[in-house]
Amino acid sequence: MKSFDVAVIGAGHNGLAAAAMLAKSGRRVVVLEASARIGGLGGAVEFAPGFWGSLSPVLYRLPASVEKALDLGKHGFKHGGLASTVTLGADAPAITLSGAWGEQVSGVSAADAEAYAKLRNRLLKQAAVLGAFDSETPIGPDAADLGAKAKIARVAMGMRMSGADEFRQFLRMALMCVADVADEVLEDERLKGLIAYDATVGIRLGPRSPTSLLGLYHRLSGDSGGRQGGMTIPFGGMAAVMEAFASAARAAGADIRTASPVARIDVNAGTVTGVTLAGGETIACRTVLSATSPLVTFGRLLSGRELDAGFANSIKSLRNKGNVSKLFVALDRPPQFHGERPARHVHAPSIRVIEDSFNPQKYGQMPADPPFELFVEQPDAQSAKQGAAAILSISIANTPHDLKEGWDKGRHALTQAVMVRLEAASPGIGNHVLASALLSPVEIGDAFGVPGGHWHHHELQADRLYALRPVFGAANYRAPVDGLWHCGAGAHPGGGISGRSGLNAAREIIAAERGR
Amino acid sequence: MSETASLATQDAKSATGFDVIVIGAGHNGLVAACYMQRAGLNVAVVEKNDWIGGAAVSRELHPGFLYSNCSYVCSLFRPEIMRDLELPRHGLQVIAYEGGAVFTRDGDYLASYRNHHAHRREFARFSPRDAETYERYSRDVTRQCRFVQPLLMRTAPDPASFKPRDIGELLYLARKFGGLTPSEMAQTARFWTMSISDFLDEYFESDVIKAYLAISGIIGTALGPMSPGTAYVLLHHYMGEVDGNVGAWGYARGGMGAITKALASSLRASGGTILTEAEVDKVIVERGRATGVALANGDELRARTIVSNADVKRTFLKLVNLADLPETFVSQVKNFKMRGSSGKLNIALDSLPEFPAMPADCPSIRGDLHFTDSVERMERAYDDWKAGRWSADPFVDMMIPTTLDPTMAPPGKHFVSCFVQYCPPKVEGRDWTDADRDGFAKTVVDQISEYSPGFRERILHMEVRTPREIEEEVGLTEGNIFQGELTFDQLLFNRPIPAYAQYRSPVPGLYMCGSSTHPGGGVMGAPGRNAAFEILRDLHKPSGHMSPAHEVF
Repeated sequence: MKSFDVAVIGAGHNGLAAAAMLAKSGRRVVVLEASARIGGLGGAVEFAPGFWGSLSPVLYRLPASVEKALDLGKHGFKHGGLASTVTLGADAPAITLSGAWGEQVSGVSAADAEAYAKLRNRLLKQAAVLGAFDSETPIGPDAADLGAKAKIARVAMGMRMSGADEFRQFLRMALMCVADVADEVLEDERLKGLIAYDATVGIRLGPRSPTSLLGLYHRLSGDSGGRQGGMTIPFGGMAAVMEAFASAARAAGADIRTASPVARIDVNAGTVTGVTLAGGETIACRTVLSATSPLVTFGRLLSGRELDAGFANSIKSLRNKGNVSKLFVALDRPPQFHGERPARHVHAPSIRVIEDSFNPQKYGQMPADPPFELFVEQPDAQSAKQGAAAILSISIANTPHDLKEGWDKGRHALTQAVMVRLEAASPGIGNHVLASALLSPVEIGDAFGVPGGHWHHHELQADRLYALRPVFGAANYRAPVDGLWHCGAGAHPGGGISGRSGLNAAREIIAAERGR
Repeated sequence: MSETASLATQDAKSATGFDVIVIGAGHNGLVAACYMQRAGLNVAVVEKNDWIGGAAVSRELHPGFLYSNCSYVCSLFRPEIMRDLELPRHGLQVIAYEGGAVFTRDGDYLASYRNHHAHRREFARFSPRDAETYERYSRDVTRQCRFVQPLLMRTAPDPASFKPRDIGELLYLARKFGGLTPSEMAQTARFWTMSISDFLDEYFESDVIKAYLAISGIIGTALGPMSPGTAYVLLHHYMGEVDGNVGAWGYARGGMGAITKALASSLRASGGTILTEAEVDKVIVERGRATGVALANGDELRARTIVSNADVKRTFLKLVNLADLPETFVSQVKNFKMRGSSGKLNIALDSLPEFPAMPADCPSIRGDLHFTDSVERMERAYDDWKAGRWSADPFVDMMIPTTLDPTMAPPGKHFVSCFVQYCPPKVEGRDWTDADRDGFAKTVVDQISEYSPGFRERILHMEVRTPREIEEEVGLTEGNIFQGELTFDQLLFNRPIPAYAQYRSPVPGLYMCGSSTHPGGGVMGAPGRNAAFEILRDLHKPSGHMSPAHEVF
C-alpha cells in the first residue's frame, strides 16, 4: 500500500491549492474527496439530467500571485474578460458598471457618476488595506506573534502616511453599514442597490446592518484578471478552473481520490495518526489538512474527546446557516437583457428592496421580492447537445436555510418570484426554458458536504474575521491537535475562489515541519 | 421651576463679565459649568426654556404629579462627578431598582431581582442550563465593562495625530488592550462588533431570558437586537452603577430633575449663573473666533469661551453661521447620524396597576416592566421603524417610580414612565401629526392593557412624546436621546466627527459638551466633565478638582 505524509480532506480550490504546494515541497500527498467530482462549491452541477451549470460562476478573488504559485496557466486556466454589472429590468437605460467594479458608469446622472467614481476610488483603497492581509497568517493564540503585529503596525502606518483625512475616513467607515455609506454621497436608488447588493450577498446582514460595508471590502479586496475589484467569468465555466487546480496538484505529484469520504481523523495521545475512510480503509500519515467546513472538521471528523470544552463550544456557535439559493435555467436561445457581454445582471433596484427582503429571512420566512444576480454561462458540450444555447446561473439572496414553511413549499414561490423578474426583463423568456432547478441552501449544504450551505461555510462578519476566523486560537490554520491543520472558506480570509487559505495553510505546515 | 425663572431675571440684569457661556442647561452643560466655575472662571449657563434640566427633568404637568418627562433612569451618572460636585449635599439621592419583570404572552413572567441568587433561581425556572450560564455571562460582561469604563472619563486620542498627547493616549489604550490575555482580546474584539442577539445565542437557550438581557442592547438606539454593534450598546447601559454595583439601574428621588436641580444648586453655590428663557439665536464669531452669543430677545452676551450643550447638528447647522465653518466639516456634520428611535408616554394613574401574572406582593413591580418576551418580537418592532412606522408591537420599558418614591404623586396615586421603541423621527417620510401621535400612544396603552387589565381606565393624564415633541421641547435633533447614534462610526475618536472628537470645534473659543461627544448619551455627565477638562487645559486653569475614573472591581 502506498504511504503518505499528508492527507488533505476535500478537493475544493483550497484543498487542491494546498495539495499542490505540499506535493511540490516533496511531500507525498493524497487528496480525499467525498463526492464523485472534484471542485467542491466551485464544481459543476448536473441540475437536470444532462444539463450542467456552475454553482459559483464567477471569479473575483483569483489574483495573479495565485495563478503564478500554482502555474495555473500551464494547466489550462484562462480568465474570461472583465464582466460588467448591469441592472436587470425593463427600465432603460440600464445602469452599467463596466471594467473593474465600474471604472466607467453609464445610466446615472453626471453628479452620481462623479460621486460614484470618488467613492469607488476610496473603497478600493480601503479594501486593499485589508486585502494586504489575505495572504498573511493571522495572529495565533501566542501573544508574542511579533511578525504579525509588525505587519499590522506597518500597514496602519502606511495608511496614515497616505494622508490624515483618508486615514480618519477609513477608521470611521470600516464598520459602517453600506446603506449609510451610499446614502452619504449618492442619489440614484438603483446604483445604491447595486452597491448594497455586493456588500450583503452571501452574508446574513442587510444594507442597514452596521458592519455590512465589510462585505463590500471582501468583494473588492481581491482581484481577478489582474484588476482589483474585477470580476471574470472563466472560459469553460468554473469546472475548468477546478480542473486546472487539480491538474496543478497532480503534476506536483499529489494523488486525488474522489468518492472517498473521510469518516474520522485518527488521533492518538493528542497527535494525528491518519484518517479512516467511510469504507473502512485507514490512511496513516503524520499530517492531516482538512479543507472542509470547520463544523465538519471539528464537529464530525474529530472525536469530541480531542477538543477542550471551550473550543468545542466556539465551533458549535459558528453561524453557518446560508441564505443564498441557486436557480439554474437552461434556455434554447440566449436571453435578451440590456447591456454588453460578458455581464452580470443584478436585480436589486434599491436599498429598500434589499432591506425588505432581508427582514423576513431573519425569522425563517421567504421574502416576496428577493434580490438576485444572474450570469449567462456558455453551455458545456453535454448541455449543448440537449439543445441548450445558454445556462443561467442565478444566485438569490436572503432565502433562509431554516425556512419555516419548508423548502418543498418555498421552492415554487421562490422560482416564480425570480421568473417574473426575468420575464419582465426579457419578455417571452419563459417559453425558452428547457430545464430548470432550484437548489436551496439546505440542498447546497447536503450536496457539497457543507452543513448550512453557507457561501463562506459560516458567517464572514466582523466578529469572525482574521484572528477570530473560524475561532480564536485556530486562525493560524493549526488545530488544537498535533499534526492537524485546517483551511477553507471557514478560515481566514474567507470564501471566494482563490485557493488563498489553502496556500497559507500549506506555507504554515512547511514552516512548522522544517527541521522535524 | 418658578424659583429659577425669578432668579434668572435678577441675574440677567447683572449679566456682565462672564468668562464662559454654556448654551443649554442640560446635565452635561451644568456639569461642565460646575467644573469650570470651581476652577475660578465666571460661568453663565443660558437655557431657552423657563425650566432647566434639558432631558434630565421633572415637571408637574398634572396637578400633584411630578413627571420625569424624558430620561427616567439614573445609573450611568458618574459617581466621580457626584462626589466632585457634592451632589448628595445638594439633594441628590439615588435609589436602586428592586428588579423588574418581563411578562410573557402565555401569562407567565420572568422576574429579575437585585439578589443574585434569587435572580438565578428565577432563571432556573425557565432554563436550569441558562441559570448556570448566567454566572459565566455576568463575569464576561463585567470584564468588558472593566475594560471600557475607564475610557469614559478620558478624552479620546486622535489616531491620525502625531502630537505627543495623542500618541501617549494611544499607547495607554494599546497598553490597556495589551494587558488582556490573548483570548480576552479576542473576546473583546468580538464583543465590540457582535449583535446582542448573536452574543446571547452563544450563552442562552430560553427566549424570554434572551429577550430580557437584550433590552439594554437596543435602548435609545436605532438598531435592532440582530444588528451588529448592539452588544456594545448593552455595555453602554451596563457601565452605570448604583452605590458601586456595576450594571445596577437606579432612580433619582424626585425624578430625573433631581440630578439637574442638584447640579444647578452646586453651580450657584460656587458662584455660577443660570439664565432661563434665554434662547440662543446665534453664536457670535468675530475674526474667526467665538466671542459671545446673540439671544433671541436681541440681547448679546460676551465671553471668550462658548460651550454648546446642544447636539452637534443644532450647534453647527443652526447656531453657527455656515460661512464661519470649513465646508468639509459642515458636510460631515450633516452626515452625522442622529435618527430618533424612541418615544415616551408619561402617565398619571389614579391607582397602582395590577398585573395578574405576578403575585400581588412581588417586589418586581418596583423595577422595570417589559412586555416583549422574545428577541424576534424586538427585531420585528425594529423592522417597522426601518419602514418609517412606529412599532405595531412595540418594546416598552415601563417603570412606576412612585413605588420607590411616593412623594412624586398624591397619596395612593402613581406616575408611570413608559419608554417606547421604536418610534421614527418621521412617519413614512412625512412629519408627525397629532393623529399619528395619538395612534402611537394607543398602540402602547393597548399593549400594556393586555397584561394589566383596567390600565386604561386608571389613566388621569397622559403626556405623549414622539421624536417630534422631544425635538421641539428639549431641542434634541430628530428626537435622538443620545444626541447621535452609538454606532462604531460615531464612537470614541469618531464622535461626533473625526479630528473634532476632543470637544473643540473648528472655531477657536467654541466647544462642545453634549452627548454628541465622547462617550455619548445617557445621563452620565462624562461628556460635560471631559469638555471642561479640555477647556481648562486650553485656558491654563487648574483641574486638580476633577477626579479621574475610579477602578472597577
